[in-house]
Formats: sequence, structure tokens, C-alpha cells
Amino acid sequence: MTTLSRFEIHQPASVLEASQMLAQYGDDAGIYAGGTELLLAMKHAALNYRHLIDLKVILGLNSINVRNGSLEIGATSAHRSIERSAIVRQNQPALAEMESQVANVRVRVTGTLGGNLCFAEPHSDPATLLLVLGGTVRAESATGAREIPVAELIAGAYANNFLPGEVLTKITVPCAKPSHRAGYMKFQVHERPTLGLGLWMETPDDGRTFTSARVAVGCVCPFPTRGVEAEKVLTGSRGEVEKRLPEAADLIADAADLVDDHEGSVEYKRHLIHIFLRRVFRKALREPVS
Amino acid sequence: MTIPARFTEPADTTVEAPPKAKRKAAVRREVGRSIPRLESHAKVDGSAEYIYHLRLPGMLQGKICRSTVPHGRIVRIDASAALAIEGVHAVITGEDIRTLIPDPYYGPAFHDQPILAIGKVRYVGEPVAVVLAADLHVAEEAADQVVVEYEPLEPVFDEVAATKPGAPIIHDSLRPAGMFPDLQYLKGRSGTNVALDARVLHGDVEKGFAEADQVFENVFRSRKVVHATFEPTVSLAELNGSNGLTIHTSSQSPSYVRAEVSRLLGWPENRVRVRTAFLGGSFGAKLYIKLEALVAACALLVRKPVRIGLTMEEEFYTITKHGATVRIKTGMAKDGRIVAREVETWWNGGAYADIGPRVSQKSGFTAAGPYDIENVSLINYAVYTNDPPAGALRGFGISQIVWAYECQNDIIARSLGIDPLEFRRRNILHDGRPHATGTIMTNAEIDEVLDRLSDRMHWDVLFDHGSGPVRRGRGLAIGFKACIAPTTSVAVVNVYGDGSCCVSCSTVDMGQGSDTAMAQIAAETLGISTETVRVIHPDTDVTPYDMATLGSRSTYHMGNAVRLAAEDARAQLLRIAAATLQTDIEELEYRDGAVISRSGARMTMRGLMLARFGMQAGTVIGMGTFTPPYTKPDPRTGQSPQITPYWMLAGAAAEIEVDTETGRIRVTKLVNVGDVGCAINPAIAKRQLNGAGTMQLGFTLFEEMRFNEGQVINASLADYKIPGMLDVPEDLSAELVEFPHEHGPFGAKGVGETGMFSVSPAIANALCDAIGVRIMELPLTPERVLRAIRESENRPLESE
Repeated sequence: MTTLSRFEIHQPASVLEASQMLAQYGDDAGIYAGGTELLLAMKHAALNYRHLIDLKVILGLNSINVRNGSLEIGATSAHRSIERSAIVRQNQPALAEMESQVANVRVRVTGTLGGNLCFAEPHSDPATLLLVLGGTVRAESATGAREIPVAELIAGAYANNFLPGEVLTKITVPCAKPSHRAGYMKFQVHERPTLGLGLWMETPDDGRTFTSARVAVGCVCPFPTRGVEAEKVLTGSRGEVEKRLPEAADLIADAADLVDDHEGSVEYKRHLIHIFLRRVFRKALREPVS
Repeated sequence: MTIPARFTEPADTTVEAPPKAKRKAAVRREVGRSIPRLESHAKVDGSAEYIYHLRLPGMLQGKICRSTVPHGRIVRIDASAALAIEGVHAVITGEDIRTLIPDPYYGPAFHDQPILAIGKVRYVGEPVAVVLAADLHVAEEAADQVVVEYEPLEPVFDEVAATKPGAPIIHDSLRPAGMFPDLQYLKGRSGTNVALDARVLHGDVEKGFAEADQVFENVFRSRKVVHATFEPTVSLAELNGSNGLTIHTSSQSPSYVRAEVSRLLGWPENRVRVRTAFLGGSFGAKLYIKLEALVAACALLVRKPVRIGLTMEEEFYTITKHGATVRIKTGMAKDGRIVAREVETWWNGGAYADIGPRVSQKSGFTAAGPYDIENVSLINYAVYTNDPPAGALRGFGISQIVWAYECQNDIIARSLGIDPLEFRRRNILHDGRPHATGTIMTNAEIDEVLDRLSDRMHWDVLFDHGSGPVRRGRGLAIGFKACIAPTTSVAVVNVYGDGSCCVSCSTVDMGQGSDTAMAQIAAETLGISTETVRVIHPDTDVTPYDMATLGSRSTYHMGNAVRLAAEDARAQLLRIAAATLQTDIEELEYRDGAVISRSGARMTMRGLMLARFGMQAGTVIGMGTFTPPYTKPDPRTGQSPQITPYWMLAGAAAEIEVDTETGRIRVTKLVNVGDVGCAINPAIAKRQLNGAGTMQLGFTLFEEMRFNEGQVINASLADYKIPGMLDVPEDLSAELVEFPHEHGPFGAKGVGETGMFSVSPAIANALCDAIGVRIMELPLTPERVLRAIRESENRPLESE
């Protein structure tokens, strides 16, 4: 089926009301937070919601602030507003840069970060970077609120770990510090990226040694995946780390459940991880990538 | 592979070669001007009419229930669950259609395609039933509830495998349609998937190979791609009076639709009215019968207007471009001359022939390229498979063929150490020499196309191939097409009492700018301004016959018909004035709505009308009919002294960057040169070249329909990528080679497809120039390029 089915759109005044609506309509209801992926899925009858609850009308849910050393990004902040936010650019430039490359400007103006994370499209960019930046999300419902690390938010392709009635309200991302290096790169030929790779490293001495690292890969697998074993070999002197990049790339590829699909074969995706790990390493260090 | 040193130092660019003597063109006011399209404003403000938006009072919407198996017998169709849904008006099956049309098979080449499947399905996505409801959502929901049980049959998808003994037979027997004169050689056949094997024999190819100093043989492939028009295919049918039918349709061939629907119904043509509007792109997807027979049958069965509009996803199951396998063998003399060429091509036509046999034959006879080759043998197989049907797509098979011969020409040139441009110059088929079909070449400006490519690319200047992971390369290719023959266009030019004028013709403006071109031709002839001319859109009750808007034929054929019609109207006006003024007709000129004599006498339109009709009202109707000459080729040898009214020559050149670590190609410069005769509207002609070049760029780099057991797995624009703004080369340019064609209207030839021909091999040749790897299958995806790089380094990707 490829014509959008009829649905009713509800405009709650508050998160509490949205949560109540979710509870009321149950499986018949979905949250609308931009719809750039949702409506496509509904068009193809992959999702069949009769009720959409429009979070974008809730006042204040798209604010962007810094508090206690972290960026607090309201769930309905559009990719475009994050990309252009002076606060984000100043406090977590890697995030602003990644957002500037999401899809195209029409999608960025409409689509939101909260919507993107909840939808868990395997080829989306933000979750992969947020995994390495240490992002968390806040889930609120009529019965309370909780903080969930991005790693625990994603349950699989197109699946999240929210409980019934929970609404994602805020994304928290630690601000970049002078000792941090971070970057995100993707490889894209088609409508969606073939590969996304995020890297975060801590260096007390301006890139001569690395004391800790986080790396995650997306798009090549059903959901963004941390390369936990790879992170262990990405510490030490720069020379050592650079020498171990191929080993790290293989560990990332081993950790991810690489998929053979129209974006490429498993072996090609493994190869791309090798190429882009080296490139994102240089990019994080603000050096020419190739 | 060693690449010969073929470049000299930068030449003194202030010295230019003397321009080739041009056949003199007359001074003109309207033709040759880049007039903005007449419909520009309507397209921007949303008032332009498209059939997709049309809604008729009381109409039902149809949703097609499609086959889920690639090949199978229909055991049972159970529509009861669908009919039980509130709002469902009817569910129509093939058997229902038979109650109205006993023999409901259609097709321009063979009557092989049922309006809805009968007894058997031949591809995934084939229409099996239609649900009709006033509400499209209801129709969609119900279409999912139609239960169809199949007994699967073995499918065959590969065009070469389908021709082998023992392959499953897709059609038990074939019945030629017999409508088009150029397809009358098609034979009734059974027990084969080969609808047609068309041959061209010229010289003695065996002798040629025996005498050759070196022989090259390669196989090139291209995959199925889709037209992806932004207005999907749509048709509506409504009853017209007590015994007529009106079909509103997004068709490129309204005259054909009228004839074919009339034939199916057993009605005279005058009871079927077919009208079109602007088309939101077409590229060959909307030719012949697509949904028209289905909506006609549905409307007659339920006695209500019926609309069926496809979704973008359904387009992938309706018509595609042919995938093709081309085996090309070339014998070379030491001096770099081609002495023999044998080309064998298997065209994957899918489950129904559509116009595939013509694609195979017409493109097939050009398969040796625009080269002077003494010994040629060309064999083309139009093959049935269990893929969705393939038909025309902007270029009509030419780009699949040029892909083979221009890639191979580069392979040969590099192997012999001859510069690729020089290699082509040595082998060009010049005017006055016989083509492989025996037709003598004329008005074919191949040298000039090569010269312009060379200039634009600064071919004689040393090229920097780069170092490090990103390498640069450049390549070029040329190609040609013979315009379809024999075909007819008829036009009427209507001059009203106030001197304003309408052009009535069945050429469909599908974005190519034909309305503007026809208006320019009429305006030039009548001495009025183009902007004041109105072009009446195809309506078979009003506009006269035209073969179809296809194959870059409209400017030449309909352009000539419009010119003749305008000349006819002008002659009538001059005759009225000559009689009134008692002067010789040669003394008179018609301009700006008045007749002026050399002696200074003047008759305004008012005067002309008074003289002719006795009052200041009336109509002068001019008519023009144009059918260029054609001689049917000998079916055994393909020989014909007159195979085509004109040749379209094209050249493309590209500069690319290759990321050798990922295999990704970025085209930084693309030049498209087209031999267009004289452009009626140069800006539109250039946009046609650039538009076609960009379209073919998508087919070259990433577009391909991907199948799993006959199911298209990327049937949506989210999964099937077409070129976007960021894919367009930074330096994209087009150049017109303008020498007036002796029989073209004001010297014009067609240009709609020209920009498609040479782009793919130009890019593949640039790839080889950059990194020395040769890829023989389209598209040139990053993974395919990377694999080729790794193969050339003897460390295949798998071994990692």
C-alpha cells in the first residue's frame, strides 16, 4: 500500500497530556515529531497508526541550553536548529557538524533529533555520534521520569526501549572539553548513508597520547553499535594508535552485525570501516582526512 | 597496461582552426531564438494541467492487485473478502474483462499483454485484479484482501539464459500486432522466448576477421533501470454519450491509444476520444497502452468514470529500460582501422514485448557505431524473461549499445597505443559513405562533434592525473541514432478572424518544450510573434493524427507538419488578398496579421475576412502532413537504401575523480555535444542535452533496479536513487553542433535523446584513464569500482 492512510492528529498542551494520550490510544497511536521517516513508513503500511500525537506543538520542547557542563537539547529541536545553534557549535562542534550533514535541508528543517532517535532508522546519523559523545535521553510519563543512555535507548532496527506512555523530552550531551577530540564521517551514495562512523578520544597532551576512546559504527548494521573492544586498542601514543587502526577497524566490524544489502556487501562494508576509521581519526584531530 | 604518451605541451590557444564552412541559414525572427517556454508561468503558478490531478464527478478509483510470483498459473481468485469491505464497488478480474473484450490482449509489437492476467502471470507486479471504490483508501485496503492462489512455474530472468534450450517458455505463442509498418516483419512464433532476431549483414565479417591483424572480443552489460517520472502514470475513462468513451491519460501516444482501445473494443475510432495534458516527464514510460485499456474496460463494465493513478512504487512494475548483454568482437588492421565488427546483443524485454522488438532492431542496426567498417554482422535478440516489461527509455536502446562499442573502442585504442580521440577520427563514417545497413550517410556531423569535444576538453593539453588516493581521469565517447521510420505527423494551423492563431497537433509536451518549438515554427512561417500562438493539447476529437511523441521525432516530423500547415494557411490568406487586390501572389507577403504588397497596398485581417466571408469573422485552416521516405530493410540482411530520415550524432566527455580507497567516482566535468541540425530554440535544446546527460549520469553511477526472484527490492525513490543536485557535475555544459539538415523544419533535427548516448562510456573511459581499470557492467558503483581496483592489484576484496 503506498497511499497514506487516514489518521487523526492530536495536539497536546503538555508532555503529561501527550503521555496520557499515548496511554489512551495504545498501539493505535504514534508520536509525530517531524514525520520525515514516520510518514514514509505509514505510506508503505509498515506502521498503521490511526492517531498521531504531535509533540512539536508543545511549547519549550525545542529549547537548547547548557546546564552543568552538558548540552540539553529539547526533543523536538529540528536538525536544522541544532546545526545552526551557536550554543551547540560552541559546546559540541562535532554534533553541530554532524547535524549539518543529515539528509537534506528540507528534512533537517522538519525532522527532529528526538524523533530521529526514537524511530531508530538503521541509516540515521545522530545516534552513532551520540553513542561516542556519551549522550543520554530523558523519558517522561504520567508516572515519572528517567534518564536513559543512548546505547540503551536503541533496541534494534526501528525499535526503541521506551515503556508504554513514555515520551522522549530531552537529549543531554556532555560539552566538549579542550582535551576531547571527536568526529563523525559518513559514506553516502544513495538516499541514505552506507556507513556512519563516530569517534571520540581524550588526549591530555594535544593529540600526542590518547587516554580513552569511544567508537561507534552505524548504517552498515541494523543499529548503531559501539566497538567496545576496538576502543581498548585506541589508547596510547599517537603512533601506537595509528598503527592499531586496522586492528581496531576489524574489531569494530566484528562487533557490528554487518548486513549484505543494496548499499554493499559485508566485505565492502568492512573495508569501508577501515578506510573511514583512519579518516575520522584524522578528522577528529582536525587534520586533512586523505 | 601501458598508456601511450599522447599529449603535447599546451598549444597556443590564440590560434584557432578555421571554422568549417557553414551552409548558410536565412535571417529569421522566431526560429533560432531562445524564447522562454510558453508554459513557464503556468508551471510555476500551478495552473498547468496534469491528468494526475484530474477528478471526474462520480468517479471510482481503481487499485491494482498485483502478482506476487514471477511465473505461475492462476489457480483461483477469491474476491469475497474484498467485496465485503464497505465502499467497495466492484472487483474486476481478467475473466470479467473478457465478457466485454473477448480477446483482451494488446501491444504495439505483439498482442501478448492481457489487460488483466488471464490464466497465467509472467512477472511479479503483473496486474491480476482491480478493486474499484469511490474512496481510494477503501480500494487499497480491499486490494490487499483479494486472495490469489498460484501454481508456481519455473521463472527465467537472465536474457541470455532465456534463449537457451530448456529454458522455461514464457508465452505459448506470439501474435504479431501488425499495426506499425516497421514492425511488419515480426512473425508468429511458438516454443521460444526470442520474440525477434534481427540481423544486419554488411561485407564479409568472417573474411574481415581472418584478415585482421588483431581481434578484440568483450562482453558488456547494463542493468534494468526505470524512468522515474515525477508524474506517475495515470488514466481516467468516462462514458461519452450513449456509445462513446473519453479517456484522459498521461500518454505520449494519444493517437495510438485511440486506435488500440478501439481495436480492443471492436469500435470505430471515432467513438473513442483520447486527451492528454502536460506530462510530468515521460521518457518513454507512457507510450502505447499502459493503463488506458484497463480504465476503459472498467468504466464500461461498471458504467461509471474510473481513475487509476499509479504510485511511484508501482512505476517499477509497469515499464523499465532494457537490461542488455552485448558481445562485441572487432578486427583491427595495424594502422588502427577497424576492418570487421560483429555484435550480438540480448535484450531483456521482460514478460511482455511492449515496443522491445523495435528497440532491439532499431538500436541494434547501429551497433557497430558511427564508424566506416567494411565487414559488419549485427544480431539482436529481443528476449522474453520474467522481469517487468521493458520498453522505450530516452534513447531507445542506444545507450546500452554505445556502452559496448565505445568502451571497446577505448580498450582497442589503448592497446594499440593510439590516442582515443585519434582512434575515432581514423574510423569515422563520413557523409557519402555507406552505413552497415547500406544507407548512405548524410547530414551527420561526426567530425564536428569530435572537434567540439576536443576543444571543450582541451584534449591536446597535458592532463594531471593526480597522486595519492584520489586520482583523476578523462574520457570521451561518441554515439549515434537513426530516427525512427516510417512515421507520420499531421498538424492543423487555424488562423482566426483577428489574425491570432492556434496550432492543433497531437505532439505531447512532456517537459521537452514542444509547445514552444511548434509555436516558434508556426510564428516564423506566419510572420507573427511566438508568444501569441496557442498550441492546443492533444485531443483525438480535435487534434489530428501523430504517430507518437517519441524517439526525438517531434521537432523534425511535427515541426515539418506545422510548417506545412502554416504555409498552407498563409497561402490561403495570400490567395484571398491576391484576388481582392488583383495582384500576383508573388507580390504579396503575410506579416503581423496583414498582407502587404510590394507596391505598398495593405490588407488587414479584417479586410481579408470581409473579402472571404463577407463579415469580420471566420477561420482559415491550414493543414500539413509529413511522412519522410523510408525503405524497409531486407529481413535477411538488414539492408536498406533509406533506413532513416536523419541521424542524431552525439558526443560526451567527462573528467572524473576516483577515490581509490572507496571506489567512488565523482564527475567533475561533463560536456555533451549534440548534432541538432539547426536548433529551433537553442536554450531548450541545450537543456535537453544537459538534462539527458544528468539522467544518464544516474544510470552510469548508481541507478539499478535490484531484484530478488523477480521482485524489485528497491521499488521506491527512497531506495532507488536518481541524481540530485549534489550529483550534478560542477562543470556541466552542452554544445550544439548546428548545420541545417536539408529536410528538417528550418534545418532542425531531434535532440531529446542525443544527450543520453555517450555519457556512460565517457565516464568508464575516464575511469580507465584515471586508474587503469576497466569495468564492463553498469552502473559503476563504488563497490564495483573498488573490487575492480583490488582485482587489478591481485588482492580481491574477499581475501581481507
